[in-house]
Amino acid sequence: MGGTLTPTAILDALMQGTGRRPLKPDGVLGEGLEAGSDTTPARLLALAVQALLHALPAAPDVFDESAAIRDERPIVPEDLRPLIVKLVTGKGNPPDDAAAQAVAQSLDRHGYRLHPFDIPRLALFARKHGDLLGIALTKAGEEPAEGGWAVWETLDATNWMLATPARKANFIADLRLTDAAKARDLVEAQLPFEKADVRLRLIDALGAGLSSDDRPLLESLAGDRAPTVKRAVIRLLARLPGTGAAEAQIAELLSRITPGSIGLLRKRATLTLQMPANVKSATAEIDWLATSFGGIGCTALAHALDMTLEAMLDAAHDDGRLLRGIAFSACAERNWPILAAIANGGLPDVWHAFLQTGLASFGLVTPHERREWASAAIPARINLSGVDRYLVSALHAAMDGTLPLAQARAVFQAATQSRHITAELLTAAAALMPHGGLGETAATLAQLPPEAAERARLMAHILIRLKEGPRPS
Amino acid sequence: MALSLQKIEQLAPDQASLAAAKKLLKPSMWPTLQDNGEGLVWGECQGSGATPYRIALTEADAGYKCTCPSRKFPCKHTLALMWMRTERLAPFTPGTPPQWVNDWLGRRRGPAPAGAAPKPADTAAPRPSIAAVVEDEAPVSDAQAEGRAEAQRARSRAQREDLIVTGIAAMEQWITDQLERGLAGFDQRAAQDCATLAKRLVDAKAGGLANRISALPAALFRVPEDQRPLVAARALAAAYLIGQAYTRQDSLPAPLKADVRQAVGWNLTREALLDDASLLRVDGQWRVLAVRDEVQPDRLRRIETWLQTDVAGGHFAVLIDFIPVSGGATGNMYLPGEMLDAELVFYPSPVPLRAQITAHRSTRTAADGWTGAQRSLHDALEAWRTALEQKPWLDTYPLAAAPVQVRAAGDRLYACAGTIALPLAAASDEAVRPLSAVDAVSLFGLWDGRELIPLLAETTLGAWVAP
Repeated sequence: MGGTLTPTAILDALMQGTGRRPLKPDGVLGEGLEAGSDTTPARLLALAVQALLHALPAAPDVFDESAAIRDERPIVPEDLRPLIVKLVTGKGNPPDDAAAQAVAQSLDRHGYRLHPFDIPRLALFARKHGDLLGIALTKAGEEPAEGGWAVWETLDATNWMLATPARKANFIADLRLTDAAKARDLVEAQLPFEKADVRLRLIDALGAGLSSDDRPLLESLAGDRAPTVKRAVIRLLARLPGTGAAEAQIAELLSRITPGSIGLLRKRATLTLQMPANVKSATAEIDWLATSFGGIGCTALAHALDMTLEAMLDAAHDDGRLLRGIAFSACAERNWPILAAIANGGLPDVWHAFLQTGLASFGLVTPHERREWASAAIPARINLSGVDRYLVSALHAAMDGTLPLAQARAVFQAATQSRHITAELLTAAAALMPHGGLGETAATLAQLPPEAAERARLMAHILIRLKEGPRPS
Repeated sequence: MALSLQKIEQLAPDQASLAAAKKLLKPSMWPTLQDNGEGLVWGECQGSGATPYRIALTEADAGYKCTCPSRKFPCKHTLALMWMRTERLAPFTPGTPPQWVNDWLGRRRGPAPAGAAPKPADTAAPRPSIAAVVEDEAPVSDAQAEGRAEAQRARSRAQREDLIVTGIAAMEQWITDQLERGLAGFDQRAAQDCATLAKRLVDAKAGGLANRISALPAALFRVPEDQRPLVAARALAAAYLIGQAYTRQDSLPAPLKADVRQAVGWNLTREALLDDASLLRVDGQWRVLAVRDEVQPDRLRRIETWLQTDVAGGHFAVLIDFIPVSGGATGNMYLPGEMLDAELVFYPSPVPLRAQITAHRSTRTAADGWTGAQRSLHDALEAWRTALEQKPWLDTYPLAAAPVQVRAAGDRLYACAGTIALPLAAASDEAVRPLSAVDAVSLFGLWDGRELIPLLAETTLGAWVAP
């Protein structure tokens, strides 16, 4: 190789190896070397590297135009930033348990956003609760999701379809309570564009304010290609009188309910439910009861038995399965007094059965309805023996929020008196507490062993501070 | 139970720990001694590391935490703090616990149950006793023995010089061989070839060069495949320059000669550094800008604490501590935003950055944000170019500049100002991305000529600190 060498040319040659491409420079870097000076490859390498270092790396021709992210929500108070990071990151601090969800819901409820600098550290938390936090995480170079809706904007009939699935469903459920026909029309127009899981949420949302006016739409959807959607439609149809589905289900149940009487001096009517022979396990039993009774109203069932509601309850008192089935039908009818009578009477643990199938199976999709269910189904005094971390965690997952204060106190008290207190149990129980009870909850947690109560205590502190808002500096 | 000398004797792992603790009972060695009035005590003790060790203890249950890497529990620093507290040998300033104490309290599980207390291995062995601690006797001066020892040390130094020169010659031959085979495929053979050369350099007592070479394979595999040949070229060029400079060290200016000797592996002890009055010393308020923590191939954790002072033109300094990974110690982590009132002495170098604390008066949390980036990015780069000319094997250099905008181009981020766009380290990409959403920032980072590792930024949304 002859002629003047540039640093790039030297490095190119050294990449291939001087064995293949010998370096015989007449000059280096355009300046030349002194005669007789060292021109070993190593020296040329050092000179070339130094020359390249002084020339900065090439700048890109074009930079990405960063679309300024407009987020009008206030950033979470400064003192809470490290606490939130501590709660949901690191060993033993899951980003998706009851505590993390409670904090995400509280951030949403109080209109806060995470500090942008914390989001990389909180990526898992943000990803799990993006729906509530209003964060769409995209990988580098990826285009952000389309849509002109931002989490802090109020939803209306023109932009609701751009929101996240949970918010869409909540919007429709709320609208059903004030203008059921408009909500139905919006859903009917949007359903063809949605995936099965979103369709399911929207159909469930129609359960709020259900009336016979919804029948044509529901019947048109009964042939949906997704089995989950189809089942939800049938469940709603069964709740409508005159569709035939409910009548058929009641007739089927009547064939399994045997009237009778007990007592020698004072005869008392009894009802006994005969379960299908192939339903053997406790789990299968609950599923069958939910499917069979969850689609009919308890008033219609009592009418078919030619009894009053009170008489039906009294007659079914000794048959726990039938009583549980009636509780399911009371929930389907939103007959909360009957459900409360069962929970406070012969079946105080009836709420456990609801958790097994999930509240969505009964069309309980709005927070308001879930709280009404909880008020009726969970008695103010809870049987301690059945309360464990799995049950309370399931209750928290089903409620997707807090319990009414009386029920939350009962669950929390049961959790603190449990023989197997764990961090998961206390955290889930504390996460069910509405704001009014958080102060007393934090005080109780301070008395408990830190290894079990620390996470719940930190969560309670964050929730209380989020409610208080920023402190004056 | 409150602290007492009897309790300290019970806790001490052995008699030697008590004796070592006694040597630390001088208040001058403790720049910070504080309590919160409720039995929580904390302090900082200047040990053999670059940064002082931090000790916190609770009087009620004798719980303790020290950041030193000692495997004795409690260590001599903890015993000394307990001792000073019990005997009131120094005043403890009332204060609120700093963040590092709160962090420890947050992680604590509380006192162990009484039955779980560790029992002495040999109950028959005598327990450590404060009364049995004897003062060290002053060594008897023996001029003849000292002369023989000095002559022996001189012979050892001369032998080592010869060994190093031989090692450097082997390294240069190795570099020539690698260049003959080509750098394009170097990454495929780096692990084996570098390990062989590193062993040879260890045998030649050129530990600094050995560490550089053994760290190269990991550095290559941290970057994309297409960039590896250039990274290898830089590393080999730096090793070659150090070797060349070492063999011609007598013709170099004193600071450069001292620097290259450190780069090869001649250690400068803390005592020698403190005794050398000719070295640069800067006294003032030092702000902790960043703390970096990485594990070296030799299983040592290297902890860099980057500081900046407002005197001497915003001088930067880095305190470097090495802790054995096997010790499991968390290390002595200062937190960005803390202020050290201290005098630092710098290791001799044409680009003096590495330092040791000579006098440490106190540590506090800064009341305000960092405002130390007074230079433009252009001027900061000029300072780096000057430093590179003075020390051609410069690895990383602290850049602080404002205003800087973080911008994206494809999947890379850049620190931009005017026509300058410095690529940001890809490893920092996810953490840095939020900075691209704010307008202009004051940025501090480490620049190696190829990419900038961002460590601290002051923005309109507050401080951004690299995780």
